[in-house]
Amino acid sequence: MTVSLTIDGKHVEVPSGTTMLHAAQKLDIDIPTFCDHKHLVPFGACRICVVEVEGSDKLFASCVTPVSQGMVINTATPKVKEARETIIELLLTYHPLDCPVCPQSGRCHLQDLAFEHGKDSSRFGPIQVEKKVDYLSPLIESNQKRCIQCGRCVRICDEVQGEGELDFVERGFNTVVEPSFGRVMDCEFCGQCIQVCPVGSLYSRIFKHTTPVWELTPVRTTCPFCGVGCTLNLEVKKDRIYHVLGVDDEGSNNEGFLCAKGRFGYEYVNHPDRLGKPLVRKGDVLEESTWEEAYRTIVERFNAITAAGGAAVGGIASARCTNEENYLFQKFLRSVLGSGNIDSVARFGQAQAMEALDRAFGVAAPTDSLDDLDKSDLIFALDANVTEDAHIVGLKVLRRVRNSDASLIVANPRKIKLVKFADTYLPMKPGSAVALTNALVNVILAEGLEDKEFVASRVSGLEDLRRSVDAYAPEKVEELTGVSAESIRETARSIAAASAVTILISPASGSYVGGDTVAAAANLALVTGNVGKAGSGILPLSEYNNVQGAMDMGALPDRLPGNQTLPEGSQPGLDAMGMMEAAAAGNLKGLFIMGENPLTAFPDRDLVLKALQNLEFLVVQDIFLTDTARLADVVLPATAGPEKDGTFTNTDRRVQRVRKAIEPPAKTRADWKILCELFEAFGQPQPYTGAMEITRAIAGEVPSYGGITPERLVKNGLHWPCPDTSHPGTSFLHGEGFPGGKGQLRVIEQQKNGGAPSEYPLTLISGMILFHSGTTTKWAKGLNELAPEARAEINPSDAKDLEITDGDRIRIKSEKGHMDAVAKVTPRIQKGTVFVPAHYSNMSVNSLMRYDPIRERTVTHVSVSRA
Amino acid sequence: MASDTSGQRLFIGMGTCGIATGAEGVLAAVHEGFDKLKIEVPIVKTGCIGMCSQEVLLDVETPGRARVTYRQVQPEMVEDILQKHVVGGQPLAELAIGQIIGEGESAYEGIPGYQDLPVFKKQKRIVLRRCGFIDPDLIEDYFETEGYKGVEKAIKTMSPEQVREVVKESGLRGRGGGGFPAGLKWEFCANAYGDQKYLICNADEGDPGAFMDRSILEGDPHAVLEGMIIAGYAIGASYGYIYCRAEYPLAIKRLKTAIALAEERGYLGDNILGSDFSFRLRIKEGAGAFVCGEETALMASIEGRRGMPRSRPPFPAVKGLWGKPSNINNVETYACVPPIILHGAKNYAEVGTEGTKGTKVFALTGKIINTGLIEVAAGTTLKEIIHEIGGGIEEGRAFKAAQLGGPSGGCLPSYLAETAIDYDSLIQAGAMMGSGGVVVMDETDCMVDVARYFLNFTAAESCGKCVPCRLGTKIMLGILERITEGKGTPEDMENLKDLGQQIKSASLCGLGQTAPNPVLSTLRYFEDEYDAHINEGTCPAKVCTALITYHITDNCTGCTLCAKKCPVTAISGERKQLHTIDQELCTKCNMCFEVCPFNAIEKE
Repeated sequence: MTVSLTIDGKHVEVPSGTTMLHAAQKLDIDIPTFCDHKHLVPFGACRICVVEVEGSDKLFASCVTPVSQGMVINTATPKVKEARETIIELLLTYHPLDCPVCPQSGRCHLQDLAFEHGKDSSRFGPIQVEKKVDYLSPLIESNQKRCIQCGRCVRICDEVQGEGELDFVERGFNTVVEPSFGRVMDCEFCGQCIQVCPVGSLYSRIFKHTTPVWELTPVRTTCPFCGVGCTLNLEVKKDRIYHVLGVDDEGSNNEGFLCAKGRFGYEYVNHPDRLGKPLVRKGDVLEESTWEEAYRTIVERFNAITAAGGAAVGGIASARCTNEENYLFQKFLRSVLGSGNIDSVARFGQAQAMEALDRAFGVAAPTDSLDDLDKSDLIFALDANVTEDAHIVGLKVLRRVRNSDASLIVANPRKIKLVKFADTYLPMKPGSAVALTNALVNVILAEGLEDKEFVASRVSGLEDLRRSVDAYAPEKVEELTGVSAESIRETARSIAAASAVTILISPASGSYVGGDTVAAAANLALVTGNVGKAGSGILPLSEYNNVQGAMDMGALPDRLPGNQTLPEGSQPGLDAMGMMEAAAAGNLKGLFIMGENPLTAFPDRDLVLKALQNLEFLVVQDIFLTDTARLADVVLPATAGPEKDGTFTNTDRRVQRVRKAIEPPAKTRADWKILCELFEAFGQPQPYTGAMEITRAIAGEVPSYGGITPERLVKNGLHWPCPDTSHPGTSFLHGEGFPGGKGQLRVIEQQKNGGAPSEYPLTLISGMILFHSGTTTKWAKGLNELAPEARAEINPSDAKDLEITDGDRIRIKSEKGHMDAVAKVTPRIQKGTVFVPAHYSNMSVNSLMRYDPIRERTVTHVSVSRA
Repeated sequence: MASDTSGQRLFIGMGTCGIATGAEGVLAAVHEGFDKLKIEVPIVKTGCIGMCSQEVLLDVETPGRARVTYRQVQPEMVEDILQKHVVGGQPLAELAIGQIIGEGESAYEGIPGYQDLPVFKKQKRIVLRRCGFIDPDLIEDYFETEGYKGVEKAIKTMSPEQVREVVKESGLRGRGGGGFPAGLKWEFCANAYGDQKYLICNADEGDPGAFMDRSILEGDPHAVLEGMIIAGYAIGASYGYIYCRAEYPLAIKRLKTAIALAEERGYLGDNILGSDFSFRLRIKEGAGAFVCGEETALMASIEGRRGMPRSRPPFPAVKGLWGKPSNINNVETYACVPPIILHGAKNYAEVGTEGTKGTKVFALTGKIINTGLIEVAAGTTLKEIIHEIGGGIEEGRAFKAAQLGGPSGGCLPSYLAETAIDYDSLIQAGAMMGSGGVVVMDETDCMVDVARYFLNFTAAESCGKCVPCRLGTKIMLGILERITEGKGTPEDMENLKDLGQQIKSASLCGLGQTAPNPVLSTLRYFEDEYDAHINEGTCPAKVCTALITYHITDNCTGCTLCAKKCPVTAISGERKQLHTIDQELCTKCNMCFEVCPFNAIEKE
């Protein structure tokens, strides 16, 4: 139903329920606001947006008042102007005019309005305020003297972020915004509050007193941390990044929201430890050298090894680098070095997930898009550390669950943040996701709840699956999964009853067996008909920005770019761990690592160390001297994400532009440029002269990227498949059917872990934490302040038994090795388990874990004691 | 000595006012007296009958005789009353304030009947009819006085629509201050779409000087429950909340007892009186924020959120508590409902004026003789309330103004004393009915200081959400403080008027929209006082200490009392000689003025 009305003499029609403010915006009539924000429930606090309605003496706050039929609204009458000026004057009675030192100066809404109305003081005189500045909290500073109490921060922290760290305290004039009970802010440090603050009350500590905002130039690019691929503006001056703001327009998939990494992690880029010159090993020492010498050494040493065939060398591509660089990397390995041994860190999670999806649906890609979460009516977070792995996905889930009837089911050994908002929480034991999922399928089939039409027309393999899940009747898996049979049944019924179910999985969490979880989840999606429609499907969350892109670009031992199969007769190369084993055994002699730190990121640190030390020749191309780079024979100083052009492909197949925002350190070179020069060094013509040229080449070679050209990526990303330049991209897959005809159900068995050995009574869980992403963020000062060392989560009851208290130094041992960490005693983790974050090269959880490609065990058993 | 006390009853006023004045001690003395006299008479512990200034009230009722009320009873008076009246049958006329002469009962000589007492003569008690007469903790007392007959009639003989119709016809308007027609509000909620509806009773009475709702809850809690049950039936709500401030522990205790008893007797719970209608009630204690009396803030508070108002629409009837359609009325409104249902709309609408039907309960405070609680027909004039019911001003001083409606209301000057008390006349006069607080001021009250007092209250109670209220009240208060300190400037009056209008028109909720009223109305009627403070540097009422000095006149007898009491030894003088005040030392604490037996202290 629409209503028609008149605003400032102009006629407009809007849907009923529209606020006066939005109706005016439709007419391009500008009404000032402080408290209103597009992502927040209208608040009506600041009153700067008041308007007059004919026939009423009152003024109406346009942001909260709905229009009605025939209304005549005036937004610029003397009465309105007077009211607005009074509001400004009231605020100026106490808001300090410390604009010269205010980090918001230059984009402060109050400053703008005072300027517009020519107010430099208030006729009501100054009021003395005694409000404090919080200098204690890391990263986010709060100056309550400047606060105008619009409540944007309070509301975004609650409504969008689901945290509620900030709230109004005290009342009336004494109201302040702060954490409860006078605590220092201790939250997710997403900084959403900073971004929405209209004045300089909440701001980045890193940014303050560095540069005025008007000297900054925003550069739109894609965040270099996780697989969400948030669009952000790097605000730069000369060759330095000073500030980051999330971009909120139709071309961004994060609506302006960021996480702590995206907002504060940029510090690594300008870190003084950045590699500045090529390093070449002379004896035991890596010495600064020239690009010429580095290239010469690489050519000589690789040629020496590959003389006997390319199989003796291999390459680890980068889940950090651009599509263009990964594309070139695999091409270099395959065509110059003649080796098919190519892989990446994707091997330990996402590659398995994609293989599972490929086998089930015929395409190695997540089936759904993040935007479509808003169309799901049930979201199943299955062993997914949503908030840590893909922060913004957590916000999207939260919004969907809060603002609609959609329900959320969380199955996780830890009470992840989303549990607080879930309809059902299944406290699954670590490593039992397959059994749990099979049990859900068992119930659905046993009770005849499957989507019969979908199964009949689009799925094959039902009978084998039915037989296999017999062993997973809810009662039979109660003990293994830790989830009651009743909960399993109820969950299965909810999933079957929902019309669009999205399953979120973190395949890299746990012990590198996420592929099986994804395969089992694919069965669940197929029997319930939850593939091939908006808001349904499977979204494995990738930990790094370009895991998907590296795979798409053929950084896989058994696939060429675009997931194309190897030519007839060629054998797949070694995968990442295969290369490590071969190197350790002396069969792989040369290795080229681009933008990866296997010592920290791969499982089984001992094996990796032995492998890398055993190599005849190791080239590492990176931006820091990582612990892996320290072992190299040649280290090539590359450029960071914000210093180069290219594209990333995020966790939902969205290809997005990466832009060069600043000049890199003088002697460094972009990875793609280094690779081009290596082609030349090896006697081939330099293939490309610019990054975008490579983007076009990819479009030519990879069918699903066929329509993805630089011109189309100026603002929006494109979801592949996008076969030609007129194609809008594909938000969800398999709507028209599966490439192989039918979706394939597969028998997936839960691996039996056996009981925990008495010397290792606890089960290890590993994964990401909010404040780090791989190893780059370890060079971000602010984030490091938040999470300087590995804090191992342990249940209070276990801690009591082990006589461990919060903050104790502890030693964690497994049959593979040991590591030290700091204890974090928390009920968030279930009894009998211990969570250790990845990321820390000096407290490396991978020393505890082995890689088990045949997946005979899905968990690692450990012991914990005080160090 | 034993005597026949059968059929006799004692009444003790055990409302908060009674207890505060010492009713517990009187009760203990009664029991002691029983032991001594070896008698046992049933004691009815009533709520407040309205004569708070006369507490502790102890009544003796003898079969066939009038019920005699003793006033300002002290424990040491009790034995005498028991001995002479209860046992001896002879009332102590000199201690009695009046007698209630029931039908067929014979009166005592020398004690005025209640109907002749000025304080009762002009009252019309509908809401308060049981207060002071029944034991609020005994449901039987309630039953005996038509209790729950309204619910029975509604549920057994009327449809919800019919109930709403009757309430609409009665003309009952919300007694919380807004004056919105109750029946209409119920209809909005009844017609709103929603599977779950809530009923809320606003018992967050927070105006300084207002205690109507507290007295009703303490004196007749079942009447409120009955009104709520009827309302719940009329709108289709199955669950209700009573939001009562935690500062009312006695009211909460009595409500809890009443709810338990009503549940026990089947007036609350599932299938009430065998019907399909089920209704449950829960008490939610407020933490004492004035703004939580605003309905949207109140709902936020029930939901466990910070008590801050939100913009309307949506109105609670459409989207209220937990987002569901909800109906909110205050205590007095619900208490009006049972008699309306039981005796019909017409019967109720006969009382009152055209626009304001029925009665209104007022709390009289300030410089008035009969402070307490009264109920009058709407349309009664302010003059009748103050000079007749209220007994006039203490010590014969001149009535100056009355503040109606608490901090949200305005003041009415003495020359408007003929104003009829109903919603519309009061709005016209720049005041408002409000919830029913009447603060009476006499010639010794400074109107600027009064305005400052109320602004001090609203500035402290502003939730801080919207700019005009948060900052505007703070600034107005600052200006008023300056004026009372003699530092006002001529622009201050303009700024007060202008800012006051801006705050009224731009604030989010009723608190801010009405907060400037005490200032604007005193400016309207007593501008000369502001003028005197600002331009002449004097406080005509001699209240604002910065603008007055204390002197000792020739009346001084040299008794030295003032010198002894002066906390800063600013007064000196020989015994039996004229004393003097050292103006340098004087802190204007007013102590000398208060203690001087000879009116020898003068303020200038």
